[in-house]
Parts: sequence; C-alpha cells; structure tokens
Amino acid sequence: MKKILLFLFLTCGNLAAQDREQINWLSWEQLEDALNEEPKKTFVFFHADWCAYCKKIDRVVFTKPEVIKKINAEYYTVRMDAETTDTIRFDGQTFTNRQALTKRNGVHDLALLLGSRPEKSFSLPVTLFFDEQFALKQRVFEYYTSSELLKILEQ
Amino acid sequence: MLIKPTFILLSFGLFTSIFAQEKIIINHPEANQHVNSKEQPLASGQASASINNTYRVKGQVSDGANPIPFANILISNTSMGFSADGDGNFELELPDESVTLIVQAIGFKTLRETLIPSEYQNTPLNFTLKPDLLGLEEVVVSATRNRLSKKKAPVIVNVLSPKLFKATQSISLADGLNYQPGVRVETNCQNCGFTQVRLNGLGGQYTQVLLNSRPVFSALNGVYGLEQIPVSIIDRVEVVRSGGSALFGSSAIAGTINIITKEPVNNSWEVNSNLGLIDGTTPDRSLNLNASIVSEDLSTGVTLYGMYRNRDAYDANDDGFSEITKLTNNSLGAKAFYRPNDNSKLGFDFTAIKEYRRGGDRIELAPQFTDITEELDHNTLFTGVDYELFTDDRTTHLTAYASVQHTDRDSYYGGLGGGRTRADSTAANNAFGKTTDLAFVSGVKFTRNFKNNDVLTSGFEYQLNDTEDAIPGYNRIVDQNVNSFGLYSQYEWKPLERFTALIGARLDHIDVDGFYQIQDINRTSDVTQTVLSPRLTVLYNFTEDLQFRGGYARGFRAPQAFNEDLHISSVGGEQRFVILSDALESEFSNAYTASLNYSKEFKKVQTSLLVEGFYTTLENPFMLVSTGTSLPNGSILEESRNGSGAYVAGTTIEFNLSPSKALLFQAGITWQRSIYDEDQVLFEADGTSPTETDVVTDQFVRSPNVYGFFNTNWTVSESFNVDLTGSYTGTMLAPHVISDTGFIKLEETPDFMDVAAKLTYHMDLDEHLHVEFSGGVQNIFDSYQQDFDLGALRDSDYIYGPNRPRSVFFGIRFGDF
Repeated sequence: MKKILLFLFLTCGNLAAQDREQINWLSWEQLEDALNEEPKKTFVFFHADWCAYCKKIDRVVFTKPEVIKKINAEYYTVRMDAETTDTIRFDGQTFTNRQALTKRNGVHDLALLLGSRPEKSFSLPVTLFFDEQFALKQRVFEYYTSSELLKILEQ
Repeated sequence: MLIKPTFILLSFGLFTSIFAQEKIIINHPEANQHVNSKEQPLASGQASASINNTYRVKGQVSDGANPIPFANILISNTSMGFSADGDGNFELELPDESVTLIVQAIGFKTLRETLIPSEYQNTPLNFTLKPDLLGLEEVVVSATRNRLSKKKAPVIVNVLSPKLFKATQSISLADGLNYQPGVRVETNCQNCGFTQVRLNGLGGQYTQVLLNSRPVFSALNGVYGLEQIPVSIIDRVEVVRSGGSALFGSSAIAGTINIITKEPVNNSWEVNSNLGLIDGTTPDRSLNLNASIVSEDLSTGVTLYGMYRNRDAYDANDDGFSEITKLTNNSLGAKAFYRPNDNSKLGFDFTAIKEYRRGGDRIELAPQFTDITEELDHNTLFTGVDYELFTDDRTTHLTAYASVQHTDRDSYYGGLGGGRTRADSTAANNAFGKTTDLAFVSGVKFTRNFKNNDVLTSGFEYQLNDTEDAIPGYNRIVDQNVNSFGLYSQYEWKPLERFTALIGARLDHIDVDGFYQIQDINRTSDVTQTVLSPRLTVLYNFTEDLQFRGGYARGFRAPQAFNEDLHISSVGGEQRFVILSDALESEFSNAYTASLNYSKEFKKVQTSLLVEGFYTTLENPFMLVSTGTSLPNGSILEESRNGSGAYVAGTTIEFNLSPSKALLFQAGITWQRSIYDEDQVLFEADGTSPTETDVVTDQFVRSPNVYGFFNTNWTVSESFNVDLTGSYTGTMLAPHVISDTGFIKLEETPDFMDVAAKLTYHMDLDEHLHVEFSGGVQNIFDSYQQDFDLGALRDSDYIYGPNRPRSVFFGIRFGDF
C-alpha cells in the first residue's frame, strides 16, 4: 500500500513538474560549447515579434509536454529572434545584423545564412534540424503542429 | 574535451554545399535548353560555339555600404536564377547578348538592370539595392479583387491601418476615414447624427461600402452604418477613389471603401476603454472587448467581439437642442472559420447591432412631449457564410458567399415643433414609425492565374434589398424592392514587364419596384434595366521609381431611394421629407483618372509623391430640389430629380516622407470643382412671397473645392508614441433654410482646420499581458461651426465642418495582443 501511495505521489509529482518544464534554450555560444563537449542533434528556431505563426508555435507547440520531453532529451535547442541586433559568435565567426543598419525589421546575418531560400523572400518561422555532426538534415519554412513536429523529431 | 577537429569544417562546409546545390534554379530545364540550343547557335552561326558563348560574370550585391547576403538574381524572360552567397558575392553565367537582371532581397526594393555581359568580363558587376521603408509592397485586395502587391496594383489603393484609427482616436470607422486623400466624412444632421463619406467630392450614395469585399450594406445601413462598425475588429480599410476599381459594382462611381476584418492566428484577447469629453464636458464612453481562439492545427478558429458606446448629447450653443446626438450602441459579433484541408476554407460571420440615437431637445422626456426629437432604435443582424477553394497548384481560386442583413428600426421623427396646440400634440403623438430592411447578397467568383502571369477573374452576384418604412401619422410609406443581378469579367494582361492592363466589364440587370408616399403624394418606381459598364485601367512603369496609372470606368444608378432619401430632418418645427419625382431616369457616370506616382529614397530618407487627376461626368444626376412647405400639413418636401449633366474634376496630391524609422509624415490635399452644366434649381418658389424666388446654382453644395489632411507619427521610444493628425475643410456652399416657407439661402461656410494630438504609453507587464495608456486632444484649435440655428424652428441639416469641438480623451487598453 505504502509503495502504491509512494508511486502515485511520485507520478503526480512528476506530472506536475513536467507541466512546468520548458525547452532548455541555449545561446549560440552555449551551443558551440555543448557541441564541443558532447555531440547531439540540434534544433534551431527563428522567430520575430511580428510573426504570428512563430508566436503560435512558441505558445502552443513548444509548451506541449511530449514535445518538451523529446526535444530536451535528444536535442540541443537554439531559439533566435531573426531581427536581433546582437553580435553573435559561433563557429569561429562573428555575425551581426547589418540589415538593421539600413532598414526596419532587418534580418540578422546568421538568420539569413541559415534561413534564406533562393527565389523566395526570407520568411518566418524558420526551423532547422541538424544531426549529431551538425549537418543540416531539414529546414521547415512554415507553421507546424506538435504532432507534425514530433514526426520530424523522430527521424 | 571531445573536440571533433572536423566540426568547424563540417558545419560550414555543409552550409556551402546546401547553398551551392540551390544556387542555380532551373524550374523548367527543357525551356532553358531551348534557349541554349536554339537562339545562340543562330546568333553565332556555329553550334559548337554555344557553350563558349556564355560569360562568367562576378560581382557583389550590397546596400551601398554593406553586402546583402543571399539576394536573388533572376534573368528576365527566362526561368533562370542565381543566388548570392552570405557575403553578397555571386557568379553568373550569362549569354552573349543584352540581358535584364532582376535583383531581389527581402526588405529591399527590387532592382532591374539591363546590361551586356561581355562588358563585365574583367570588371565586377556590383548591384546596390535600396531598402523599402514606406511599405510600398503592402498586400492589398481591392484593386482587382485578388490579393496583389500595392505597387503592382493598376488601381491606386489607399490602406488605412488600425494604427491610423488609433492615432486619430477613432471609435468608429466614420471618424478614421478623414485621414485619407480625397476622402471626407461629414455629419449631415444635428438631430440624428447622420454621417456620410464623400469621395472625390461626391455624396455618400456614390460610394460603395464593402465588408470583406462583399456589398452587404443596404441603403438603410448607409445612413448610420459607418458609425456602427467597431474599429477593434477592423484589420484594415482599403479606399479606392474613382470608379477605376473594375469589378466592385455599378454604383461605385466615386469609389469603394472595403472594410477588411481581422483573421486571427493566435489566441488573444483585448479590452479597451475610452472616455472622451466633448468640449471638455459631454462624455463619450466606450468599451471594446475582443478575443480569438484558434486551434493548434489552424483548422478552426473564432473571434468574438463586443462594443458598448454611450455618448451624451452635446449642445454647442446652449439653446437646449442638440448639435451632437445622444448615442448608445451595443454590438456583439463572432467570426469563425473552418479549414477542412489546406485548399479550402469555410467562414461564418455574425454581428448583432443594437443602436439607439436621439437628438433634439429635452432628451429626458418621451419624444412626443418635446419640440424636436429624432429617435432611432436599430436592431440589426448580419449573417454571412463564405467558402474558398483552391486547386492544388494554387492557380485557380473559387469563392462563393452569401450574406443576409436584417434591420428592424423604430423611429420617431417629430415633436411639437415649438407649438402647443391640440393639433401640434396630435401630430407629435403620431410621429412614430417602423422600418424593416432586408438585404441579401450572394455570389461566386472565379480566378485563374495563367503561366504568363495574366489573371482572369469572373463572377456573378445577386443582391436583394427590400425596405419598408412606414410612419402612419404622416401617411408616409417607402416600400421598395430592388433586385440586381451582376455578371462581371476582367482580364489582367501583362504583355510587357513595364505594362499591365485591366480590361473588364460588368453587366448589371436591375429591377426596382418602389412605392413612395407622403401625405397626398404617391410616386412609384418601376424600372427594369440592363446596363453594360466597361472598365479599363492601365499601369505603366516608366522607371522603378515612376509609375503612371490611368483608368476609365462607367457606372450607373437606377432610380430608387438611397440613404439620404430615407432620412427625415426637421426645419421650422416641421419635418422635411424626400420623395422620388415622377419619371426619374437612371443616372450614368463616366470616370477618368490619371496619376503619376514617384517614390524615391535619398539615402535613408524615403519619399513618395502621388499626383492624381480625376474627371467624372454625370448624366441625369439625382439631386434634391426643395419645393418648400408644399405639403398639406406644412412640411417641406424635397424631390429627388434628374439634374442636368455635371462634372467633378480635380487633382489630389499625396506626399509621404519617412526621414527615419521613428518618424513618418503623410499629407494629402485635393483641389476640385464640382459643376452642373446648367444652373440647377435647389428651391422652387411658389410665388406667394415676392422676395422669395427660385434658388439656383451651378455648383455642388456641401462640396468644398479644397480639402486635405496630414498625419505624423513619432515613435519616441519603444514605449512612447506621439501622433499629430489634422484635416482641413475648405469653404463650401451649404443650403440654409431661412424662412418658414422653406426658402433657402446658400451660405458660404468658413474653412476649418481640425488638429488632434495623441500620446500613447505602452508597457509589457508580462509576455502575455500588455497595457497601453493614451490621452490627447481632438480639434485642438476648436475649429467648429459657429452659426448653428437656434431653437425649435432650426434647420437641423445646417451643420458642416468638423464633427466635434475641442475634446479631450483618455484611453486604456490591456490584454494579450
């Protein structure tokens, strides 16, 4: 009986803890260190203030316990405002937002590098999936639901 | 430390390889091979030279100072494209002939350059792109009834964003429209606050108002409807001046106002409340709520909204009679959608509006005990369904829709009129009326995009409008049934890169069956008519900066009671009625427009200048002629008659300037003339008074020759914003009843400058909760009409100029928005 109670207690505690869990977002610098220490798959998400679909993913998809669990267990994750004006060091290079010097909603060089498509305007959201060698496996340029995301993460 | 030495190489080696693969896009490989094997051998005369006859050209894309990564470089008239790398560098393989390259990058203006590749064998080919700040690439719907980039639209479309509504502290749509070139909103009645929008100087009935591109506004909604739409549900309003908008109905003679409501993606909610104090004393309170829920897979969603507004009556000259009407409005609505799959969407709209307005004197008493009361209690319900279907390749698009609007209205237009006799009392007790209005619209639209970028749009539309308005006490009846069936087709033709033509026509079959009665006068309208209205618009790009647009549109209106004809006002203590004259003929219009649009950046400063000329001729225009107090009970009767031909001609200049990100300035001014070919009688004297003769003029009344606006938006910091807006109304002729026979004098009104300032402070309490405080002053210089009539015998239509005197306002807005 005691064991059952203890089990229930632990399970409930676990569930409650899971509800509050979040995806462990890393900065690019942290990602570099982490990859150097232990290679793992990487998940990168670009968003912006005005991007309604990005917000939807943030609020609805990234808050689902099964998504959080899967991502935190198997991926390093980076979430970046594509319009940030911060200087980012990654992989021995320095990236800045040069577009922001001349225009509104300028896109950061790193976002352009990773999220541009020929013949198409840079659009958000952009989600990238890398393997353990940090080789790009897939790029997604649109909104996805949690089940669609889980399917990609499984691959 | 488990450092993998290959990591760095791997990662960037990988980036390079991805983009290398994507560098050359050949959509139709066969097409490209044709270019190589057919044209070049012909040019060079030997087949083996074809491979050698291409040039490798290197260069860089930059904004002048810094390289622009990943710009796309397309070769015009082929499907070949290249992409620059992360440092803006590119290498192109070009044929040995003059080519036009199109260089595109997001946030920059598209650049086209024609060059001879052989000249760049040893010199680098550098492109400098300019940023796009003024939102010229905004997407608009109205111009051709398909979504189109604003700059590519052959018809000039002005877009009003919610930002502008907020800047002007607009509670309803009617308030916000003043800040557009060529648009003027005016109040026409002190008793009931009847407003109308005038586009290019033509009255409200010449403008077609659309809700989500559909004509659901009936003649009755046109009277007060603009004040019944809460701003909080509006995503944007698109204004098309003049009849160039090919397919938006035969009555869109002055233009089209298309109200587009919001389409939510995220769950959100918002509460906002405003308090305005008209002249510092008379309160105008409002509360708006709206919330959206959208499912995770975006397949279903709903937006719910509600508005409450309560404005007290305002009396400008302390005579006990209102200049601004008491108004209470409760609106409640929902907009839902369902997407069964990626290629189709089903939408539903529901809105219920309960609006009460009352003006006159002693608003606390029952209307029959007052001298003048106009009291209107509207209960309106809109319901709409629409269905959209795309083919898998998105080249064909089908839309079907149906909307129903029903209004029940209790009215009181009457009062003792300054008298206290038994007859006055009987009349006052019999001024209650009842109106029912039913409007039904249904249509199907089909759009096909061809491979050469031409677009064909065709459709049909059925409209029914049934209005019954009865005031037994005056023996007044309007019983009107209008059926119209429209068939339209339009072809968007792009034979050259610089040139686009919209060629279209509309066939309307209209059937009006109306019975109109006031006291002992009966009139009928029994019209069955089929009219073909051709429309043509062209766009020519002289350069990337300079565009020419020109258009011709024909329009017509069949004789029927329009919004103004359903409105009853008071003068001399009696009512003023409008009735259609016998043998009224259809009105036709020919509208011509031509414009030049120049947009240019000087370093970081962006400017745009539009000069537009318009010329509209009217044949048989409907106009109101007062026959004085010719009715048996002493009321004034105005007849809607066919006037002589007329024209409206003018120029609008619009200027936009954005010196930096934080500052935006817009201004527009219109000069125009609105002239009848012959002098028109506005008042027909009955000869009883020797001093009163016919009043004639060849000018349109209530139409100023000069009017304009400006607005300035300054983002001081992320949380602080300043708006300064203004609208100018020049002098005009306003009819003023000055004798108890109904005799009118044409008064020349002064000009007005209505300036408003607003400060907004924004705070993020939490990621999901934002608060905004705002406050400001409307009509800072108190530029307001000074010569209102006094007392029970006043002419209630003698009102012109800005809608309110100096007023202060405060607002709070909070929510997850």
